[in-house]
Amino acid sequence: MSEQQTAPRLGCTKADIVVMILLISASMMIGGLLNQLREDRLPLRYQTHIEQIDEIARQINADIEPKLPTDNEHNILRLTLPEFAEFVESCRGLVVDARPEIFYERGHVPGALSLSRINFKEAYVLLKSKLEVNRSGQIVVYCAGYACHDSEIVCTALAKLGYNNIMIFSGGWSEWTEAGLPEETSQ
Amino acid sequence: MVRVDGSRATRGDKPMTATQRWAERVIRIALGCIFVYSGYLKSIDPRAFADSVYSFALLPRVAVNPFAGGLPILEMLLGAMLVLGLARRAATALTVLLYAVFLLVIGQALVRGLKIDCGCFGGGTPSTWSMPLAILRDTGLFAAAFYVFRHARSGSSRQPKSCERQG
Repeated sequence: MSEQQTAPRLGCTKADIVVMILLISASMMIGGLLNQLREDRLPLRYQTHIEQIDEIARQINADIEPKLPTDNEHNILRLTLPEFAEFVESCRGLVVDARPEIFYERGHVPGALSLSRINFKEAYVLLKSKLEVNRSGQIVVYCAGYACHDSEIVCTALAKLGYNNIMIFSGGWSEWTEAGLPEETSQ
Repeated sequence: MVRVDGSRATRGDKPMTATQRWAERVIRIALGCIFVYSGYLKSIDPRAFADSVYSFALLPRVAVNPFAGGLPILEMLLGAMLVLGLARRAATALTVLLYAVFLLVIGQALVRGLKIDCGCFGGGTPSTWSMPLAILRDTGLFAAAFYVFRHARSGSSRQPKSCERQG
């Protein structure tokens, strides 16, 4: 073998670099193809959670109630723990749990309905009849706690779907359980 | 001396002992399995992984979803190649490169004070790994990948071919 041949100092030959580029390209193409085959395919441009829920609310509006008003005046009040506990005890309205269903099943506020941000469209279709009865009534949404924004996102979606009287319990599941208040499970 | 496959033999290249060959094989296969596993977890919920990628605030929004879709496939392909020992030099070089990128990305997020789920083993799931621990873990994996690459680079993980002995 000629000693005048040279190899890249990095220790990779040109063939190795071609293999690497082919691997990366093939992965992108396969990833794109698999995405097209998915039911819930990702769009080319990333959407934030708010944008995703906006689109879902638009789809629901189009599928179910195309004439729902979209410019509702809504005040989203934030309840403290004592106010939320009183709301739950008095059964003044609906309580909605915006956490993923798996956490809801392990424990939730007694009487709460599961309407997760992650699975909003499917969950809303299942709960539609219960929610629509309460369209002008009070609904309180909670999620994991102060650091979680899922309750705000679900609130936004419900407001876009015409629910006028929505409140948020910002303390969420963590504050409820830390206070030792009753829990319910679905298991 | 240049080997038949075009790689440069470095000074001090010694044939590996049986123990070293065994260690290289075990580390390479373990790395491959980790890559396949992490790629599989990321591919289960691409939306959650895209959320993790976006939270690093490095890529423009048009690149986030394609990246989130392609990286799990790349990891699984690389992992399979490492396990099977295919295109060893290219596969291990790309593995080293990927871990270097992961370390840089997680490191910059730590320096910038971003609070994120690293998405290393699927995104959107409560992770037991804090970011410093994720860096520690990836540093170990980077070192393992570099060890395997070093042996793949020199070709010393294989028995020398007859024409190489003439160098």
